[in-house]
Amino acid sequence: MDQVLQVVFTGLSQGGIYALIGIGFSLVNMATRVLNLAQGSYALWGGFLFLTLATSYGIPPVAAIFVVLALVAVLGVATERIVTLRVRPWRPISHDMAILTTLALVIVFEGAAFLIWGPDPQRGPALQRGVFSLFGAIVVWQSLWMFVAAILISIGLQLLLHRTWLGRAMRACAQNPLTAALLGVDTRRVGSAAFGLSAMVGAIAGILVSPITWLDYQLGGDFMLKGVLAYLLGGEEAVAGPLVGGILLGLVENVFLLLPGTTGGLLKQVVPMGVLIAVLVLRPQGLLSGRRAG
Amino acid sequence: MIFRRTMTFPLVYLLRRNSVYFATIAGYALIATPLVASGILYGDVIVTSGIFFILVMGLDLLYGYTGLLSFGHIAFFAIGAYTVAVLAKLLGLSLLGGGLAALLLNLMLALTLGRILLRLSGSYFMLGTLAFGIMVHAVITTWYPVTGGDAGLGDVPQARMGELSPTLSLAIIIWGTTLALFWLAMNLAQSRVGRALRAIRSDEVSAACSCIPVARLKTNIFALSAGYASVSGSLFAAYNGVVHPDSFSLSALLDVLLMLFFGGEGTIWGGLIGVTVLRTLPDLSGPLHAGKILFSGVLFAVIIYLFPRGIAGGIRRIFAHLARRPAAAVLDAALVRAPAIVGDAPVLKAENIGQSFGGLRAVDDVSFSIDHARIKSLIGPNGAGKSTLLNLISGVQTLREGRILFRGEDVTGRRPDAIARLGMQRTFQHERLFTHLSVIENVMVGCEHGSDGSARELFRCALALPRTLREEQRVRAQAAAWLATIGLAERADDPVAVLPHGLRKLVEVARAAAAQPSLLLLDETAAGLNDNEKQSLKAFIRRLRDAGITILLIEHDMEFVMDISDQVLVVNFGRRIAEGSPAEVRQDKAVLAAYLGT
Amino acid sequence: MRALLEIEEVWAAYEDGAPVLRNVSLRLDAGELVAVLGANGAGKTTLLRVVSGLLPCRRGRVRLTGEDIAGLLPHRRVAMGLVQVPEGRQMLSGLSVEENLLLGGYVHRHDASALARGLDEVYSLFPRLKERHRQLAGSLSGGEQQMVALGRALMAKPKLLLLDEPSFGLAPLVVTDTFAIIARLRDQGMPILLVEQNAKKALEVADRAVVLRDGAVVATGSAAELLASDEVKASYLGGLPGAGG
Repeated sequence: MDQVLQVVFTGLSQGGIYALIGIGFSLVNMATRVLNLAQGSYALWGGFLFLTLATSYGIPPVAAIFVVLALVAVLGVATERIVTLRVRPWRPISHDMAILTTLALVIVFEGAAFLIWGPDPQRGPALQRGVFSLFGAIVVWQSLWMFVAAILISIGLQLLLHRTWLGRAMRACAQNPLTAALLGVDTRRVGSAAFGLSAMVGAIAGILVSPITWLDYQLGGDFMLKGVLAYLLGGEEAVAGPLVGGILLGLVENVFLLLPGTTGGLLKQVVPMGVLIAVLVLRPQGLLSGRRAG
Repeated sequence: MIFRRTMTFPLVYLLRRNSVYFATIAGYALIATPLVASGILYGDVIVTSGIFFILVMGLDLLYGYTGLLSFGHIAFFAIGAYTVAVLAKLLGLSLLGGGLAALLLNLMLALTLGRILLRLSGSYFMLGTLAFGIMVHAVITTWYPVTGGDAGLGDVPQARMGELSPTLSLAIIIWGTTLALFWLAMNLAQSRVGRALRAIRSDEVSAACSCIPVARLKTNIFALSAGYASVSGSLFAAYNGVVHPDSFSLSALLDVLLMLFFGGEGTIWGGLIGVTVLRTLPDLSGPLHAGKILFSGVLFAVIIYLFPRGIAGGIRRIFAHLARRPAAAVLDAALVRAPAIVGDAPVLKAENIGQSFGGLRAVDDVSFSIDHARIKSLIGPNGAGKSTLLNLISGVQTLREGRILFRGEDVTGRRPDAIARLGMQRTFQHERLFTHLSVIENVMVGCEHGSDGSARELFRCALALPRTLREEQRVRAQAAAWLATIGLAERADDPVAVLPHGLRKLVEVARAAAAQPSLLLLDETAAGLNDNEKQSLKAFIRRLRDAGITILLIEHDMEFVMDISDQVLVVNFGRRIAEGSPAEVRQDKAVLAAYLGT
Repeated sequence: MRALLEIEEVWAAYEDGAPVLRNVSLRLDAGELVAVLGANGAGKTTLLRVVSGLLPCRRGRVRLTGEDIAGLLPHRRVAMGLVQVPEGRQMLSGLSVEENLLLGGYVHRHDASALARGLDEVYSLFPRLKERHRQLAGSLSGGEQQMVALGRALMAKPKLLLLDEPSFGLAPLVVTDTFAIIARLRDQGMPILLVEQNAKKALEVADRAVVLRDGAVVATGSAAELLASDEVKASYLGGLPGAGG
């Protein structure tokens, strides 16, 4: 029983990470209809930048977080600029080209990470060390933060989308970008904001997971796939969807660890991909219904 | 309309049509030989280029021609390689045996996976194939007992040809296979199948209405493409002697995509350029190895932006002016064959058709029929549901309420390509020509009814059998004759984009008429035409009617409608409000109210 | 006196090549309602797209109160008071009526009290919208969507209104109501550029009109002149009774 509980808690916390990355996908897709494959790279860079600032430069972790968020936001906005370089109201984005560009950027981020931090996996400092006991299972404080952060950020973003002008503008762009432009919305600015926000959200995921997972330069792709799965699984609700999707994914993945031997490891890799394909085919609108763009 | 036939001997036609194939080989040999001799290019780069060229060709057929970007193709490549290695280890199979087994496995996998994934649109298809690719990579890396996991497998069987050394044997096998597969791919690309693929890439809906079974053709080309990847993988394994997961990772995928885009997608031969240049680079950028990943990423991004059509695209554009052939000879047959008459029954009978969009009733209980060789016009204010009606009749939108009988047969709920094959053709309100095909190629698709997308047809076209070639010439001449009829003979090889709107609509009508339909649906064909063009269009439509084609047309120009129609059907708010001869409809009170708002 | 809107010798085309507007010139003075007529495909909607910035012009100039706006992106033009009600009304269907209206006032979003006043004005003009202000815009009837579209435009405090086929897909009664509102706006001094397929309705409410065909101007004059002219009748009232066909 303890083992099951353990797995559940691990699943919830990992799910929180996937949810955060998935929310990033959702924000960008809402505002610009682009599927930004580089989403996972923001998480990777968030984690790497954080551990460099905190360990090599000795900056207190909390301050480091703010610096990292600012830096990664720049990366996000830069991505948007590159992807929409030639886009105009009369020359809408070509989905093929956009996704290929973001794929190229995934590799660029990977290559740059390799150059800066080398091939060896690294780990960051925890925000809160130690463990505590809950219902007989051991919970690492950091894991709790992973889950709580996902919830808090989701709430924050939901408020942003419904109570602020930026949020309204984003939802308008999600429905109909040309009409939004005719209403006076600067769609480019909204796109940049969406990319910047999503990069920051992804970076938080990376920062939180850096003490637990060994970060290496190739992890961008892995983060991305889990995030995209969370996004697709969750459904059309912009924020709640990826949240639910991510947590579900985290739980499902970790359930396989209950199985003995290598079968578990194998299934843990294979099943999520199979689920992704199944979701794409059977229920592309995801588990929660709502209004998704694109 | 009687023309004279001239035909070229199939072999000559084949050589002329595949001049690009021979030019590529010759060009490559010409450039590569001195480079190899002087040591700049290594022999083994040439050989591995062949291997990757096969893979890229397969990808080009899938993306460059059909528009399907598969991120998972590296998986078929991996399976091709690992199957050979694993079967050699477990069963001692030779390269040939293992390769064939791999091919079979991959084809089955592709057909199953294709059926599932090809229903997905653009980005989701890419994601699905990416997931597949990751899955296969994960299996390879973790299934230690069979695949050797992280360590990989060695002892891949070598090939031997008689007395020759294994290295030479393999080189000959590889390049022999490459040349053969290149031949097949080029033939396929230039045949009716190639045109059908490019039509699908341009506009799937329009392709379906031109008799092309989109889903089936996509699945088959996906399988073919996987087959190419499989062969490539098996040869790769044989060449290296070992297989290791790193060769099949996300980075490897990117390398391959880079080769495709750099060389030029949509050309087949462009891949050779891309492959050779990019295989050479690692040797040239020795000290840059640490930055190689970054470099490839940046290069990729730059290519996407500045040269989306790659080097081959650039070369093609230069030669485009030179390659323009005069519109071919004329044909020795009546241009329009009167379609068979099926008794006295109306050609089209619509019974209680309805369609709702959300809360809106777009079409409400509409019934009507059209008799053989009559012209019926469908009119009504903007937003009255006319185009929706046409979409329901042609199958573009699935009919769920009511029934449609076409030539006596119930076609309710059938797919648009099936209905098209029964003899119904249409044009679209916002013209939907195939932008990836030239003007004459668009009409050719009409003449040849696209392609039936079957494996048999793929074979016949890839092998370029004499009969297929004769057929191709006949179709081209026929299409040229149609173009001559509408006065566009000199614009035959022009890309569709440079034609003004009015002429594009005319080409669309020609494409539809060239398919020898029993029923022709014309959606606002006269819109945007000047008076002279409208007169020509009227004459053209009458000629088609006289040849026995039944016509249903939507039009806003009242004068046009009243002049040309035998019968007029008026709709408003999705409902039929009047039907009868032009004179009757003119006087109808309900019609006046709808248009003049009294 | 400087014209409010000046379209000078404009040529425009879509990405793939062929020109859709050919040497079109038009001017609109303060307080005028100018109608742009023509058959489907004549270039009317394209003209409005160029004015709003959704399509660039290859040649020619577009000036608003004397200022060249050619390089400006659509949202900047809205901020200058150039507001369009697009064809088919284009509701943001997943958002409520009130949210749609609020977004109409996006360019004034920093002035909360002005927005609140604007919203009150729209609700008093269209009481039905007040009743349904929480309803999703996508679930409204055609006439109600028309009200939202016009209300949205008014929220932006326009200096010049561009209307793209307000009669599109609406019942005759609703069309009459719509044109009554348009007439009222005109009487209040709002300059309007009206694109319409329903020539009769448009000419009844316009001061001047311009007829487009194949992207070029083929006739221009006062509304009365054009109502009487054969050219206009022939091009699309022809063949129907009541139009002398």
